[in-house]
Amino acid sequence: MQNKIKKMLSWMRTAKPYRNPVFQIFDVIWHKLKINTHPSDYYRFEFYRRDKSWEEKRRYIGYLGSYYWPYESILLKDQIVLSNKYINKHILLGMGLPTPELLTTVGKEYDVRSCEDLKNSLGPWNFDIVIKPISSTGGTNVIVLIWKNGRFQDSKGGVWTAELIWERLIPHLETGCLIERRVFNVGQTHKIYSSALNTFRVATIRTNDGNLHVSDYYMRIGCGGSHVDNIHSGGIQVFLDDKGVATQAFEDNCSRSITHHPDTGLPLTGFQADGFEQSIALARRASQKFPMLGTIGWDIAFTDQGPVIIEGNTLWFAEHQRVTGPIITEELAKGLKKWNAFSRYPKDRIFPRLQKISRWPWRRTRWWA
Amino acid sequence: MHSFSKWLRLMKKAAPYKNVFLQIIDVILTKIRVNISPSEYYFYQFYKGDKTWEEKERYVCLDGSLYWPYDLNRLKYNVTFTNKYVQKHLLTGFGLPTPKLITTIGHLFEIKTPQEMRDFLSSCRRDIVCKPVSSMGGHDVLVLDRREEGYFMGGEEYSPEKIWQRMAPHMKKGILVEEKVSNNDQLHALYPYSLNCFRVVTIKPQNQACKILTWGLKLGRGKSVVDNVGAGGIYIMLDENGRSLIACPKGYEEEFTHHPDTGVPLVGIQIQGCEAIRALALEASRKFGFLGTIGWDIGMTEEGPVIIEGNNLWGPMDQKVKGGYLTEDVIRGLRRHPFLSRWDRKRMFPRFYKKMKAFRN
Repeated sequence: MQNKIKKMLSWMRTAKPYRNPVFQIFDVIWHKLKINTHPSDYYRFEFYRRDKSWEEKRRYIGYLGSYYWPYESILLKDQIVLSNKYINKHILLGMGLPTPELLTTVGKEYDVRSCEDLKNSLGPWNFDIVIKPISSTGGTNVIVLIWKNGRFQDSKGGVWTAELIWERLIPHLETGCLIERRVFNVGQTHKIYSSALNTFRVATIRTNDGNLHVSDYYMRIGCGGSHVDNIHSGGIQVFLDDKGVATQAFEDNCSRSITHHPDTGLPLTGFQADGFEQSIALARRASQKFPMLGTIGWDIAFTDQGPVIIEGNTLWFAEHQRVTGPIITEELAKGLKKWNAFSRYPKDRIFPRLQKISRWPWRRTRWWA
Repeated sequence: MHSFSKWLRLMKKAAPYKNVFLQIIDVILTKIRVNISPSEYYFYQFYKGDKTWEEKERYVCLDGSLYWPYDLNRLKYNVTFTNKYVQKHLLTGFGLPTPKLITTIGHLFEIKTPQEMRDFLSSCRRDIVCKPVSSMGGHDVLVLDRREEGYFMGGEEYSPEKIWQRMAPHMKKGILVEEKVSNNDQLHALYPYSLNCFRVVTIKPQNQACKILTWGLKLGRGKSVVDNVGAGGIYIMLDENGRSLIACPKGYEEEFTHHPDTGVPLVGIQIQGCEAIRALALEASRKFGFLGTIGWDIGMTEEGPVIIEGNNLWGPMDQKVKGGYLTEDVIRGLRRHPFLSRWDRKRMFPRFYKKMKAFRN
């Protein structure tokens, strides 16, 4: 509670030059009532600045609920199709969609169940591999191992034996891990940063008339020696125009604008993203194969084998709206349900604060978690 | 009122074994001791007094029982089996043998209009099966044979318009169009009009390896194109080596020695390829390791076994004749659910599909 108050006070201080705190409180309430904006999103999207019309503000998607909230089109029972990486991977393979080769699975209920099994599996592999926990998010606990001089090494040159890998995987044995063949970017994307697989985030939304729209796209580029490109692991967001040309780049979750990559010094604006159109086409094709999911945020990498799907996400959130403007276009707005401050989200669908554990013991069962 | 007369009928049937007053006491006692519902008390004829409490504990009942193996399945994985579209792609993704998916029909699927349907059917040159994505018990399944003049089912011609009309109620959730697979000669001889499938139930009790709980063979009857017991089919109990023991229809009120339509003997026959069928069920269950118990429908073709579908809420088929499925070994890896105990709401529990909004269709 104390932290919440501190956070709120810091937001209010930031907004003070534009509006005094008493008016801010009235404005927050008014935004909630009029366009269903959560107080945290009011400050996140800087609605206190008075530079946006109500029509424009209405089209921002907020993490904790907003006037248009496309995630509610997904039934809770269907979200496992993408939220579990093991199911996600096999369904992609089953649909014939391009995705990195799955080498094996590790875990109590999977193919590799012991250190000995792992040693035998690693034996014939003389290429780079990626180890991903099935239930991780934001690129946490992902291990990228490089095959060099006849052994597996990390990016810092540390040698990884089967025993060491096994030790690192022990906390994930219950839920399991996937071992995939590592794929590489090509062209300028590879030159800008080669330690991580840089991906396009392409979000699609299906409107009530059944039409599929590509609502959001940008590129994520790794940074600071990280082997993942996730924003929360220090990744850079590069925004693209509709031809795939980089227009602006931000680091630290859109806090700071940058023009050149901090590690390689290459420009982050003005270049043509390789495979942009193919990646957008793949996102469309993949979303059409998942008719039960109304919105999906695809992570697609353009590699020497063409675009490949790394994973799909049902709950993709677009923090970048504060610098790029709202995601919902006028066309999309016409086909989406509107939510007001008093509407109840159906509990059989994705709803705001899905991850929150209720304070009431009888409401704590989250069967979907 | 209907339900009252149903209970009276059941009680009347049990009256030669136990008087009505004692029946009521016994029903209550059965619920308290082994957590079995009154309807299953009558279905399994517990009133006969020929079973010990230990034997009764081993019965698996959909409405709840002392040991309820379905609670090994977490609710969040339910869609991997209840949605045939998801299931089909998972089976393909796992590399398990399953009939090839040719196309999909529905508002949000590949074929969206009657014209597209006509074009597809005129270009398709093979026998097909149309299955609604969320149907159960073989309802609304069309098994269509391709002839020169068009598509036929059971001798009746099915025009593209007629197929479209039959599939119209399922357009929202979608329909799968699969290639039709045929039984091997042995199963074809038993009943030629449907794909006769093996039902293989696997279970993975806690801290134990996956094993086969029970298995049997389903046959169609009365020119039906599906083998589901609920649609009039026959269930044949098999021993571990694949020899047929008893053949019964739904309800297990009578026994067949020969198929009523084809006249072929059903008891004492040795099933070909039973090892391959059992091995495939275990392999598939290992791939679906996130679920604890699955009832697989496996068809046996000349090319080998193929998975038609899996069911995470499989119905106990032959307990009435065979006795409770659960062995002492399996029981050790299952949770006990005494009367009035709370069910874990993250896992399957009796009638969860009625009690939870998220699972109501």
